[in-house]
Amino acid sequence: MNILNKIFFIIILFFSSYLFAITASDIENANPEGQTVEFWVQYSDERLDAMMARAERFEKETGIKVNITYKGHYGKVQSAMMTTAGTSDQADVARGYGNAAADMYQIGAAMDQTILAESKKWGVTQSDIDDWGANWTVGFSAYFDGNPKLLHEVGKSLEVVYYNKDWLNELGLSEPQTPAEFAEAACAATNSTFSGRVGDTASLGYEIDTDASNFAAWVFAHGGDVFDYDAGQYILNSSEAVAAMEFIQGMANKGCAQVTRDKYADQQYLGLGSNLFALSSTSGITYFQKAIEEGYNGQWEISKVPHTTKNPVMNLYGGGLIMGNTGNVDKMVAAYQWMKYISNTENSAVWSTESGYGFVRTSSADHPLIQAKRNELPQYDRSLGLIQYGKGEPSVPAYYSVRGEIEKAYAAIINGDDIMSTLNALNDEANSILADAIEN
Amino acid sequence: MKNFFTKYSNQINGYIFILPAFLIIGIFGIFPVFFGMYMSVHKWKVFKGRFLGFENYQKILGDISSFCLFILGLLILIFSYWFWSEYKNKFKNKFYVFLLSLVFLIISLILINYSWSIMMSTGDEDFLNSLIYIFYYSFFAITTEVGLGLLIAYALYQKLKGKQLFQMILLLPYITPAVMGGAVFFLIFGKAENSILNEFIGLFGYDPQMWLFDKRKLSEILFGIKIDGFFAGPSLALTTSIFYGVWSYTGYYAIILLAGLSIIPSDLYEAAKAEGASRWQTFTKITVPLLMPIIFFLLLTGFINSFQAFNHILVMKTSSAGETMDVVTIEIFDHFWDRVKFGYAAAEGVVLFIILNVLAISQYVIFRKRLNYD
Repeated sequence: MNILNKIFFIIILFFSSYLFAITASDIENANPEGQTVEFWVQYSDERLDAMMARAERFEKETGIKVNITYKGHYGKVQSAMMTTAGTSDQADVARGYGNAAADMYQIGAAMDQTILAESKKWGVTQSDIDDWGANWTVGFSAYFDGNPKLLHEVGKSLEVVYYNKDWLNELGLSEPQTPAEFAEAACAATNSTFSGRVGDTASLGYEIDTDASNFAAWVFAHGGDVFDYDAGQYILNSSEAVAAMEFIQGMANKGCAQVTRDKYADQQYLGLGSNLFALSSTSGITYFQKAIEEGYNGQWEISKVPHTTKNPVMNLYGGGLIMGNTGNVDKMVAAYQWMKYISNTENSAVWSTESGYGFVRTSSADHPLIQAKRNELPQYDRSLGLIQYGKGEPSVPAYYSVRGEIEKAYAAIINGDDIMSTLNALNDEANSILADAIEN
Repeated sequence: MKNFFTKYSNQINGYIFILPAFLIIGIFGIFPVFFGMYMSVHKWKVFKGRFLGFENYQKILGDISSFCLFILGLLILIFSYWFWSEYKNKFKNKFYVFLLSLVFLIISLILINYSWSIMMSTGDEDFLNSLIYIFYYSFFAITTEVGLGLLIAYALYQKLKGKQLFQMILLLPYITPAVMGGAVFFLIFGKAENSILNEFIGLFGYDPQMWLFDKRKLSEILFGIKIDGFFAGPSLALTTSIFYGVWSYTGYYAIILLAGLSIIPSDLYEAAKAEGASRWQTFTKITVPLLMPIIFFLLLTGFINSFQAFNHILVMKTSSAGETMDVVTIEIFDHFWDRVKFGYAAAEGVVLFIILNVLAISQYVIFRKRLNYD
């Protein structure tokens, strides 16, 4: 290519970026009515039905249709968004976490929502932002230049301990406050049989879902973190992570804890009265409630994750809404109206009671449905009080892939592999995945 | 012009007839291969990025020249067999042919071992291990499937009541969707004490096993030997997925082999019977040699197909099994979907493509003389 061609190409590129870039005035002049918003979710069953009912109400009120498609778990939603980037097949809105949003944004599959939020006609007011509080600011990603807003929060959940309160009482123990007390209770349960047990499955203290969030929850509870934002590196082999894994492996070596037998087995066996503890998301509270009611049908409770820190530090999930970079202004505005709708005071409250997720608007706390649910299910009420101790997992590119590596290493440690060498290898792998993801 | 069409009308008709198939195979079969090669030399994360040349291959293989040496080693290995089988009867003194073949064999093994160890130390260890895991899978699954299939076919070839019902039952695992079958196997081979298989082996006094959750190698489980590398064998978790492959395909192979048995002239069996041959002698001296073309075909296609085993392994894999169930297709899938490394995954696909081609050549050379009834 000669020099004239190069100059010509750069000029065309320069002008086209202005011609096709969406401006604030485009947003103001957009017409969302009659648009169809594609919304990809990880919800299934009752949650999906509830969200579809909401979409119908939204269409009646605004004339904007919302097609909700179940895409599988969060990872599947992310894969679908990323592999359709730049095509008309991409969704306008998708459910995901901050790290997924970062991955998508990096390749142009997700857009910065700031321009829509700041629109006088279609955006949000300062009082709305104040009502969201920390749930608004958490959607910005400081990892990128310009601090783009990549995530619009609609619900939150915490990794908490679920336990069989009747069994703990039978053992003469109180709710564990520290990892040592947790291990003691787990071993006491393993060596006993709960009087209300259903079936003949052997007793177990703690059945571990080796999910990366579970790993992070224990590391947080030991005062550590999994990512160092200052260094921009994973720290999966920190002294706190080692301490957390020593605690877990110690229980496993005594037979008081083991890797989960099947998916949701922790929930199932806790319900049957053969497991004392499970660590899981508060969004699953209704599933645990159901398993227990259909199982030993006694008292149960949720609690903070036992910690070595002064105050509890708990793993807070802030799954939200990510906007696809479709380039169609009318659809973008329509999508944003839908996002605002499902996170308004009313819907945030209703969704919280329907799904078990925590609400994201301060004003939702006074909603009659929330008040009723708090009275009806004390465990839900308690979970809302624990949100103040929340700390998020890293919202950095490639965390989804790293999670898979954490899961394998975590299972290996529980099954007896050397902690230090496993964590060192895991950390190297995680940082190599990160480096690979951000490399141009 | 008219003369041209008249003269070549047969050829033109022929080309017109093959055109649809040519287009379909070209667009959906051949084009993706070349497009994959094109992707593999680029940084490609959803969108095409900069040209990388062989950078992806270097990351995967560590050193491309070592991979070339590895392929050369495999080809010499095949050549050594070909040389022996081709010339052993053409020279009076077989010893020199044998010696030369042995030299080729040793050279090939040295090359394979040397190049592989360099690749393992400098390349993508996970990908290279995934090739070993899929080799285990294919070797154990296919040999068992065809072997068992042959025995079942031979049994069904006898005069049995309800033969057609058995044939239908044999095909059921094959037509069961892999995801569904894999999910059922996941439940059967669960690590819980009350999983179906653990309950069953408990009846015979055996301790519960971890099955799909066990990453220990067979050499360790069976013989108590803790070794690393190729000769350690597959993990118990991978072996369990091999069971699935055997369950799924044995019936299918049995049906094909049964069809093969029906074309063997019955007078051969009658003659053998008249000569007083036992059933085993009949099986080994008549049935197996005459079925060899079909056995060869099944081994060849089965080996290549099983190198692409994916669905049930994805469903059955557990975190406790670590990397030991990450066969090559799972590895490529992870890089493509989870890490969105399209170019890298494409390069892995090309490496697999090359290896599969070498395997196809080797099987052809090994079995070529048994392809006919001479």
